[in-house]
Amino acid sequence: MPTIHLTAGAAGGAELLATAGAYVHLPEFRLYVWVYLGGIGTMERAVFDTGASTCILPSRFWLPLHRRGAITWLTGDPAHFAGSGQAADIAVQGDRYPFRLGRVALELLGVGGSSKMEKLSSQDVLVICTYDLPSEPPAEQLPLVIGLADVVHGRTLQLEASSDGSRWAATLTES
Amino acid sequence: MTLRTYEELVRELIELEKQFPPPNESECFADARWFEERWGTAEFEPYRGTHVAVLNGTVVGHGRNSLQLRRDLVREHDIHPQRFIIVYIPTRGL
Repeated sequence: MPTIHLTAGAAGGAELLATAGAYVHLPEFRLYVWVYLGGIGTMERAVFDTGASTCILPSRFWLPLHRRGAITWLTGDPAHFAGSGQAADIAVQGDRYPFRLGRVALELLGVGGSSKMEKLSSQDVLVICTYDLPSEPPAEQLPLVIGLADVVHGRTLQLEASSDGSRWAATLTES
Repeated sequence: MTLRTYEELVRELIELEKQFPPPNESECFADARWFEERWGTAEFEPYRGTHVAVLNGTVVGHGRNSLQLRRDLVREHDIHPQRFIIVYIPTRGL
């Protein structure tokens, strides 16, 4: 069965004060995956976010796809709520952005396994395309987020941690 | 920087793609793997808050706008835009 290895990395965490001046460390790990978007051969690195309902494409990723006609748009430019007609927005990394919904071909790639590139079959997935533009002074760039909707359909995500929890490994397998 | 500037960069990149043969996927894969093997080390600390571009196991450029960085590197190296692996290094954490 086709399998890709995701990259798992310690991403810091939080220290909470405990009793007697000690502290409790809450570790944070992040999973990464490589992708082709829209059938275009640019390898992009993305956060594989099991807490995200769907994929989020910042403007630097979706504008090139839009220009090539590689996005099937599902909403207006930007999206508006049905009923109220108000412009919809989404919170990403603490800021809110207008967005547009679409569908894009997504191919997941693994570079963390064998010496050959691993691939899963291309699937059309729902994407949130944010209207984030570079600012002055430059703000933190939004990551390309791979969420679960459509992406894990028919697939198994397996996560393993070492006995002390310091090392993680993750695979995604197509049945 | 405006949406229009972004769109102009995208248009330029698509035109540049037509001038070069498509990149070898296994070479791109090797650079992506090179990046992953060094992710989380001190190697990318100087580039925090910017996008880094990797080519043949070397950081060949960095900048605050990934589209502009890719366009400038194509002109400098005379190769297909998709040959570069470009990854944003966050200001904090991974």
